[in-house]
Amino acid sequence: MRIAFAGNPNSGKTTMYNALTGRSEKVGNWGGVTVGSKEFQLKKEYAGGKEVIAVDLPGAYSMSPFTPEEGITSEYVRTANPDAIVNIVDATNLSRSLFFTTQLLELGIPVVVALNKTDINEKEGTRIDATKLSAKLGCPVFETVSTENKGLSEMIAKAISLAGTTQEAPYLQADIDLHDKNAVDAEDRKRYSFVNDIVADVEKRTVLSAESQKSDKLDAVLTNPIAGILVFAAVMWFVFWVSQAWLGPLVADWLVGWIETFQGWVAGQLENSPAILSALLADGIVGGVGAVVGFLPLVMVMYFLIALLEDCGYMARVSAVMDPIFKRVGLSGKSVIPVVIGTGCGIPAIMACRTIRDERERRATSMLATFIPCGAKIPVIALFAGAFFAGAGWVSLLSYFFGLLLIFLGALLIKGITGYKYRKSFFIMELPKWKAPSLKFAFRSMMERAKAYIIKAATIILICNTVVQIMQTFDWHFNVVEEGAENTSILASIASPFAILLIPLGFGVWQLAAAAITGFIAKENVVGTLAVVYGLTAFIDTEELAMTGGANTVAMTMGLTSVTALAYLFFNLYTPPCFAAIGAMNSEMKSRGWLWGAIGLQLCTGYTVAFLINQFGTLFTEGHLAAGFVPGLIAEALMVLAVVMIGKKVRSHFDEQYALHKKASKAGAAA
Amino acid sequence: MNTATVLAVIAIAVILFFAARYLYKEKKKGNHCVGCPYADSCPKHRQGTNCGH
Amino acid sequence: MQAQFALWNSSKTSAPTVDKGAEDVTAKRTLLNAEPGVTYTIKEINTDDDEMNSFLFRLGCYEGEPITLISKKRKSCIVVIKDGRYNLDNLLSEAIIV
Repeated sequence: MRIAFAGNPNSGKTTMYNALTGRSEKVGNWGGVTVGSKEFQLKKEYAGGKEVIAVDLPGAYSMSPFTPEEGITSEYVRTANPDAIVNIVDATNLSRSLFFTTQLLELGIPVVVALNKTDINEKEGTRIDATKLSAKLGCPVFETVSTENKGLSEMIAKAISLAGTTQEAPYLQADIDLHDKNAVDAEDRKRYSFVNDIVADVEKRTVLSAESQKSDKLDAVLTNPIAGILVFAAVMWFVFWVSQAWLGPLVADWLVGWIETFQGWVAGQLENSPAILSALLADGIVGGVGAVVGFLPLVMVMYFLIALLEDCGYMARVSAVMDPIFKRVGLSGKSVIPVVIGTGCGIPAIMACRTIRDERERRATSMLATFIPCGAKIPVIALFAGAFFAGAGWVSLLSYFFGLLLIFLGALLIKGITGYKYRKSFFIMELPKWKAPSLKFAFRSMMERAKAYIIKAATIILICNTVVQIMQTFDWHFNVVEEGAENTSILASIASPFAILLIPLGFGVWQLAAAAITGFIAKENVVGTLAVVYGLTAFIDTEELAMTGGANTVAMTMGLTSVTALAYLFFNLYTPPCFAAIGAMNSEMKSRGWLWGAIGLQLCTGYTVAFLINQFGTLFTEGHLAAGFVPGLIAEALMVLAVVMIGKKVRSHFDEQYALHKKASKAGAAA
Repeated sequence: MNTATVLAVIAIAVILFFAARYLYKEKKKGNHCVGCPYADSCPKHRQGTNCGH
Repeated sequence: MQAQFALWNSSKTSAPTVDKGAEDVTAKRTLLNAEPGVTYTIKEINTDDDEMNSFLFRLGCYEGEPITLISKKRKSCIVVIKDGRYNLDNLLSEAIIV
């Protein structure tokens, strides 16, 4: 049996779904968090001995989709024939929600209305007569609070018992020609007046929504073009500082101590065993995975703080305040949400672009969102900040804000290439009611992500490290590579050709090239591979070493200056993301051209940023340009040429369309 | 060959076996990106099901 | 054209003494040049974009419905439609004639 959860955006569908199934799907206090359908079995205590699958759907205002994610919902309830529908109605905005409810009631599938967020109504003194509403709609109505599990079991039991029956609609759309816009409009208007009559009858408000409220003062500040942006910058700075410069490293240091002790113990046990074994187990598996897991606290603290931000209702305000800026570069205010989500993981960030209506803006955002360093890139940033910049917090802060800058520049470039489209880009965003963020929810979300991170480290990264270890231990004849002849290993011979390309960037050695390549499988691999290829057993405590000042082992072994280290770090941050994220991009963009454009843009960006940092950095610090300036310049020139060519091609295509359009209209006028 | 060596060989074999088995299982389930917290909602491996595309 | 006030919110503004629209009867008053704190009745929605129009409709933003301007910024404004607060950009508020 399948029960679909449908309702307006931000009415609490996913929160209810999580409570009933025990899942922890992403929730947040803004409309459009859920962008795809999800299904899972109901918990036993709710299912009543039956096999019941709950289906969570993206929020929708009506059956006619406006944005891609709304389309998923209307298509599902129309074609997938669920056995019952739970219509979650935001009780604080009954008049808007019931429009969709009356449409759902027409489908013939039994509907149970969950009047959610009734706790807020109680606080505000709004009363809704549920019995009367139930009589008017002709379906059961339950008052629920999904954040507190209130009223859920009665509601779902009713939905299960109704499955298979048919629903009588209180309001039926007249038989009209659905292609006739005016008829449809008139019909919708009638529906709305039907809804308005019901609301007038069942709802009593003591606080009118239109009255100025306390939260309006806060909103006025947060959406103010200057104050709002300053607040946003301060909030993000605080998040990065706590997670990556203060609390995160504090816990990480402690964790790393344990990992090192364990690694030392393993190595000690294997003293009398063949060197290859010690290398594989102590360096490859324990060292490599440990190097990645050691950064887990930084990632966890950040996930926790971001979850708090997402839960309180701030995201919609950020989106509103950033809209004018993003619009200027050809994106939308809604692009901010993918950017903030992208600090956690690029994949949900790319998927979150579905809430953007304009196709070009949507594609451009999903193309650029991964410039914001994701959670998997945190170990890379932290490692380089620790080893080369004395653990400076500014490195991670710079990485994020530089990523944001690249998004702006990239957006301008895309705008330039695709040519300005003469279509108005409207912005409308609901500002949800503020809510105290739930610590429990943030903790759960953090643990969920931590679990995923550990699983990733113990599977993909572990295997990658082992493969890298083996590839660098043997040559092509499967002889063990001798000391001093490392360049003959399988890994070296594969990575060397790539390394040549990286010479203008200042890090043209095969070890670093290999680490950058394994990074495409998962970005944490950069750290794992570096640990393996340089045999750096005590990897992360270099942070402490660095803090005491002076050169340290990591910096020495890698043979990078601080300029080339920064270039290498940025190269890894701003080149294409991992394959998984590229896959997500592919399925969201639905266009080969855009996908390859995205990969090309990201490759060029990473290369250019590293090239400029290396050449100019060396010029400033050492007074001369770094090696490979001319070849690098040629590569850059080729990139510019490619961009110009693509831009010309795309724009001529537009001109053609425009010209045709003109001709057609002229012909029409003549006729 | 001492005990530590034997244990180490076994440990490596077991760890790799479990890691590989987990990856294999996930792949079979259709999850291309192991460890991705969003694998469930990833459109990439849901082509067979109805998710609005 | 006769401009008209629908005053739901009497606490913020006193009586609708001055009819702003009367100063220039030929210009349409949009949300862009409306007064914060005042509830208006929507006269016309004209975004030149059918999908956008019907999206606004589904939010409860259509002719004859009340809309309250809560605050105004240089490039955007906050309004109340039905029982929800929304942030609109100027392009959109220009298209809502009250």
